[in-house]
Amino acid sequence: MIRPRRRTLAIACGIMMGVAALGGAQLSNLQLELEDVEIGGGWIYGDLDEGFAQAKETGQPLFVLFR
Amino acid sequence: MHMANVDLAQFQFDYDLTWAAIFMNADGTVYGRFGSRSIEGATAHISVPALQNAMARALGLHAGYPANRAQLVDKRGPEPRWTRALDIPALRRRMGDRPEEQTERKGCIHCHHIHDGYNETAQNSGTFDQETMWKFPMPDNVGMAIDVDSGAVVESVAEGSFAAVAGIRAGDQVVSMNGQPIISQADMQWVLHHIASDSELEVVVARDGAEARKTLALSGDWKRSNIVWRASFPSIRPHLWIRALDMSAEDKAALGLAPDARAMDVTTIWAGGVRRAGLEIGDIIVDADGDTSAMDDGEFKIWLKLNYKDGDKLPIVVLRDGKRVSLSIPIE
Repeated sequence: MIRPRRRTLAIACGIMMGVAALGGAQLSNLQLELEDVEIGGGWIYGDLDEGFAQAKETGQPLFVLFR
Repeated sequence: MHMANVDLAQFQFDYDLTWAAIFMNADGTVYGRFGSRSIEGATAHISVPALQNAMARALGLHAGYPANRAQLVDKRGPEPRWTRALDIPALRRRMGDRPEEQTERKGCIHCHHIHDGYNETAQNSGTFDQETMWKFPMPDNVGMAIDVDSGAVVESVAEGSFAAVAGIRAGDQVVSMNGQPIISQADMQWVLHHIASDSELEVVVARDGAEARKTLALSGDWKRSNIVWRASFPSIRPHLWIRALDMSAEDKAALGLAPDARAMDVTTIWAGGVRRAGLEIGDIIVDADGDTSAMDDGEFKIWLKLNYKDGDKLPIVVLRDGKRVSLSIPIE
């Protein structure tokens, strides 16, 4: 998961401990570009507002990743 | 999404990192940060176990929230002068007239561009403070080497360092710094970044099942380190457009020089002005403005930025075909 040499900028929000699995969901272009094709679960790509909304709704903390 | 749309007041971190994370509450309260880097390498200070430990500590802070809110206030940081990347004058000038490119990779504002923007804006207005070069110092700078996987346990203490004088020992776990709970090395860097060079740093450590409070009396230039790894480093002026590598002790000996003597082999010259001044590939710089001590290419560039400005000339002496040649090299 940690690939520090990557020059790409992305923001990924994860609700810690996970929320509903997104099994079967379409991979976003950003996921494909980052080669995060095996990453699923509660990750939200490139949408901070949605991350905050889910964290508020579930009461869980946010893990916001910049890379 | 790219950095142009990020709230810089909410998301304050070391923008030169290639991998950075912030743990937070939905109300914007920051629990901590993860992601550290130094001249030792991109992965020298991070690991999956370190991230797992940081996550566990962040969850602990979340469980204690909002009762612990007061401890977390300073983790957000003061309001920055500009809260959007494109509000930073130098970045706006660089990107603002090409909005159609901002959604493309080529024109995207990357994290390190924030530091570029701060540097260039300050330099353009003549207000650049060299102290801002020393961003997010590692805990090693005050004498504490942190075990990478734990992210909080002191692996070793440098003899005679601020940490040693304060009584911190190997095996101590850093619990808080200046009242802020610590979940990672990045959190320590956050505290060190924001305190003045001459100040007291209060560190609470866990030792033998109890907590101990230690005070580090910081002073001097402890924030300094080799910062050439930073993507924003080239945005700090001035520049000497060459690469010159410190020679090995054996190669220096062959030239009759001591191991700690300056002997920098010029391998690349990018600027025509430098060539016209007479410098050649293969020259060996042995003296720069009277300084003959050994430096590597990064240290040399930092030294230049600290001591010269655009338009200055750098007097150097090089060895060429066994003879000493004096030159005056333009700094641009």
